[in-house]
Amino acid sequence: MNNREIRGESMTQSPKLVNAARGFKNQRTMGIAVNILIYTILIILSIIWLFPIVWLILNSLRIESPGRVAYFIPRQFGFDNFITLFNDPRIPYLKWFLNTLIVAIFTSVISTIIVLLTSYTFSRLRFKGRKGIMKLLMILGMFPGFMSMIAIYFILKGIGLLPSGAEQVPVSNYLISLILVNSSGAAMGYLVSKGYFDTISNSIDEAAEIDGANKAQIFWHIILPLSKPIVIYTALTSFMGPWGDYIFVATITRQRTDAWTIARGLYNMLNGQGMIATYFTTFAAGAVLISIPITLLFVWMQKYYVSGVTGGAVKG
Amino acid sequence: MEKQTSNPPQIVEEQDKQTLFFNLGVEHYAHRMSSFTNIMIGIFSAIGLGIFFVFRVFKLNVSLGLTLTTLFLALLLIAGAIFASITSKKLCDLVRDKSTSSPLMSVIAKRQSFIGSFNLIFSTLLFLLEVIMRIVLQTSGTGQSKIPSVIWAILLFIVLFANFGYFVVARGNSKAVANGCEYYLTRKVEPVGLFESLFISIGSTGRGLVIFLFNFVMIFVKAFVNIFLGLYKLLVKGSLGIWSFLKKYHHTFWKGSFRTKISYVFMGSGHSFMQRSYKTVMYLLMQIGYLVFMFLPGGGIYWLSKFENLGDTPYRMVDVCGIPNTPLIDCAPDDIIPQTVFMDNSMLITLYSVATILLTIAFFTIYWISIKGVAKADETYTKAKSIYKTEVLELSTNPEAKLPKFKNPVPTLKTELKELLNSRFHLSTLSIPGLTITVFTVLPLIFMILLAFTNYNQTYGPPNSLFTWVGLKTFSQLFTSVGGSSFSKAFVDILQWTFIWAFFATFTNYIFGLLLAMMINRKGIKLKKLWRTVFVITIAVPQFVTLLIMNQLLYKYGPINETLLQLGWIDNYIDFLTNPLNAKISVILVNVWVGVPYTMLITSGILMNIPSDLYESARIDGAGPFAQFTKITLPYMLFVTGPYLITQFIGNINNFNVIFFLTGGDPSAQLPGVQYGKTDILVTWLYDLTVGGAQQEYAIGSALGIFIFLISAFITLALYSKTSAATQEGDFA
Repeated sequence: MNNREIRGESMTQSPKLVNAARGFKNQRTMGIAVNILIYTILIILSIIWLFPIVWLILNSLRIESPGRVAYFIPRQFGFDNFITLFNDPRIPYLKWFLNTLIVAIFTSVISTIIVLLTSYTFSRLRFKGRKGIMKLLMILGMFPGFMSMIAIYFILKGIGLLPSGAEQVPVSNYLISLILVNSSGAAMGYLVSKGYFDTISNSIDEAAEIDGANKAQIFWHIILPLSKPIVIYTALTSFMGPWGDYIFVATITRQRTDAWTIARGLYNMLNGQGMIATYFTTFAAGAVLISIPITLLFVWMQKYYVSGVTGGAVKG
Repeated sequence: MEKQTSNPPQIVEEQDKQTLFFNLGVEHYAHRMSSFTNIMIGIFSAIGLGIFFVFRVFKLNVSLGLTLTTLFLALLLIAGAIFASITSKKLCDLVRDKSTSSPLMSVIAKRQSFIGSFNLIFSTLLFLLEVIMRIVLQTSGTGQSKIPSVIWAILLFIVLFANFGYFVVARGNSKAVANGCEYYLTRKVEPVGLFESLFISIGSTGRGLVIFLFNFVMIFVKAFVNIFLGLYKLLVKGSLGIWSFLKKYHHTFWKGSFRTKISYVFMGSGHSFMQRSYKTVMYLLMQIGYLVFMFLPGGGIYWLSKFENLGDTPYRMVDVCGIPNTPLIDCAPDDIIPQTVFMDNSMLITLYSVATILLTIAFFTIYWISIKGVAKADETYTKAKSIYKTEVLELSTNPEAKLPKFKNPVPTLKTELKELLNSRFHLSTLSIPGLTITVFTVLPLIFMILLAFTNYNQTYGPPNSLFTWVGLKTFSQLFTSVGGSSFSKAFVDILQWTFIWAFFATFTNYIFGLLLAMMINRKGIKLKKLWRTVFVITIAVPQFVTLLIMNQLLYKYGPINETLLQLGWIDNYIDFLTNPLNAKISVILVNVWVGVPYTMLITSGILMNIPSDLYESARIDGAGPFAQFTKITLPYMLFVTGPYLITQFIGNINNFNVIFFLTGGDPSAQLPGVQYGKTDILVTWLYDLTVGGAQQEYAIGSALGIFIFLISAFITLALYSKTSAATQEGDFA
């Protein structure tokens, strides 16, 4: 291509330009046609994407039978399923919700502090073994998490948080265990926020240091106020984690229903022995109820989420 | 795409360009064809050899079917090698006869024919060996390979090496031809008919494929080499470190004063002779704590002593009186009941031994740090003291002079605490995560890695029985079919599906997400925010909820099937999740539903950053929308989001949620001796093997976990180094 142009064949370009100008009107009608096509596709896609969610909501409002049905539109609408959710002793929904909320809040706070401090340390402080520790953390993060689950279960038993025999322990013990498990490995997720801290100019630190600030003060008063998006991103992702976590909860809490979290409880409504026939619509109601706050939170914080993910994605 | 023109092969620089191009140009179909065939043969024989290699090394050769397959592969190899050497020879003759003025071409041709014959000889050898082995096997009837696999490995390695060289040469050849072509075309000679151009296009596709494959393979080769180099460096560094540590340990003792020497026995005791008793107390408490932990009955030493065998008696029967609170002596013989008392628990022994070892390592690290601290303080203190003494001595002649106060140079508690917020801030920030990671990640990991070397399963498991060390047996059970293990069959099946799944899940999401983002971000599309929100809502709803709903929607007698049936679009229920193939397709499609909004969200921002002048110039050059997409958008996005794609790929290999909540691995594979589902990927199988189901194959599960880790780590290391190198190279296009 290049050679041809050098040999004076760029002459051929001018008729092309003329053609382009002549076809301008055509192009415009083409553009409108394409736009219409795109609108159609987008509408179809939106329907496909929203359909399962709408179906879920419809099911939560269906009151003629509690099990699965093979049609989409309910015959009778009502809020009975939402009431069942809070009255049925077999499904302590409120308890599960509160459990999850407690675990999520604590996990979010602890993980955020750990992640931010660790990333600040790796981004700004220079000490012996820094690179080695960074690599080690990255490698440790590659083991499949639940490979260590059995061992964690026995460690928690050994610490005395979980019952080692037939005796009962309070629900709070299970929640503490879950918080510990969820936030213990937080430091391994340092990459994204470290990438963010790296982009903050070092000269600000130096200026503060000349003014007599120590490293802790620099972190607290300078870096942290400048990193609002990443703080929110970290808090948001670690807050959302426990809402969807099933395996760890299942392993740690076993059959203690009142220590379950939402995900474990809802899963049981579908897959528990003989549950689906009586609790399917209740499941839908429960799912709708937890989806609302999470969705609102997510839509509200979307901007930060995107900046966090893309920041990590692009910089690696 | 820029690489070919910006990075011409060396021959062009060495030769008179025009003559070379001309000569090559005239002959170019012949060259294209020969290099194409050579490349194809190279690929086939490499694949054949690769499979052959795997078969041999893992000795998967017991059945007749496999024997036939290997024979077939060997024959294919030989045919390929013969063909390759013939074409190479022809090429060689062609170059020589026409007295082409390119010495490099003839060098290439010569090398090609040399490698071809090399290939031929070794393939024949291989074939003969195979036949001989078959005969030996037939007569001995043991069903096991008599020839040690090392010989096979070496032989095959040589053949692979030859093929590899073949690749390189063929690649160089086609590059030269490509350059010739370019010249040929600029001369506007009209040599190409329909068939010829077809051949040329096939050839160039082949070439592109080979270059791609070559680069791809090289990434892994490099990573492999790097890993070994890294390990070697680590070994050298480690042993040097140990040596210098020993020297230092020895040296510090003899150099220091009594304060240092006493600290070798009683940790930190030297500090109390320098008015810093708080440190002595701190260190001594640690030392006492450690010693108590180790020597207490049921402490560290107890567990370590059992570590070698992992226990000897799982339980004992003890006679207990049936009447509560009565000693055995007072008990009537009728009331005595034998009761089980659990003794050794192999799992707890392993866990506590690992904990003890970790604690010991931590303790000795602290021990050495304390010695270093004392020695350093000791040195400054002694120096300050001697200066002070001479001062006092000088002043003592003058009775009126005031004696100065001794200034202790050793840092006080207050300064040390202050340092923890400043120059040693990393100690404060990393200590807590370090502790939790050690307890909840490192300790469990070492424990699980150790389990892979035991026989822990349902039969050999606490509390009713013990498990013990079995070396690499678990791995051979998982990776080979030795001993009729059906795990290896399941493993191969699941491994294949895992990679297929990860590939499709990653790329479908990526491409569809990108297209969606492009549609929404197109100029002239209104309500951008609304469209985005519609898709974002599906991310925000917790994933397990959407997946469970999808499972219900796709249920055999669920609403989708019923509706389709009523509409008359289908005659029978579709087995969305119960037929293996359908289930696999459903899983991938549902994953598109789950994942596309994520990609849309992420790529939207990046799409807007593509310099618009790139598109403008492309439009002027007459590139249509499709060309713009393939030549600008896609390469740009791949360049920027390369690391993201890699993490996605690894994430999909380990994508537990989608499979678990959607199908739970079902439909079952119905293989006797092992349970797994047709949509199970490695991690969900791992879950089923260990905590999830009743199988309790912990040893196998651990081995599988190690394998998953190795592939994740390997792919990450290999591809990350590639992309980071790309990033360092500078800007795109």
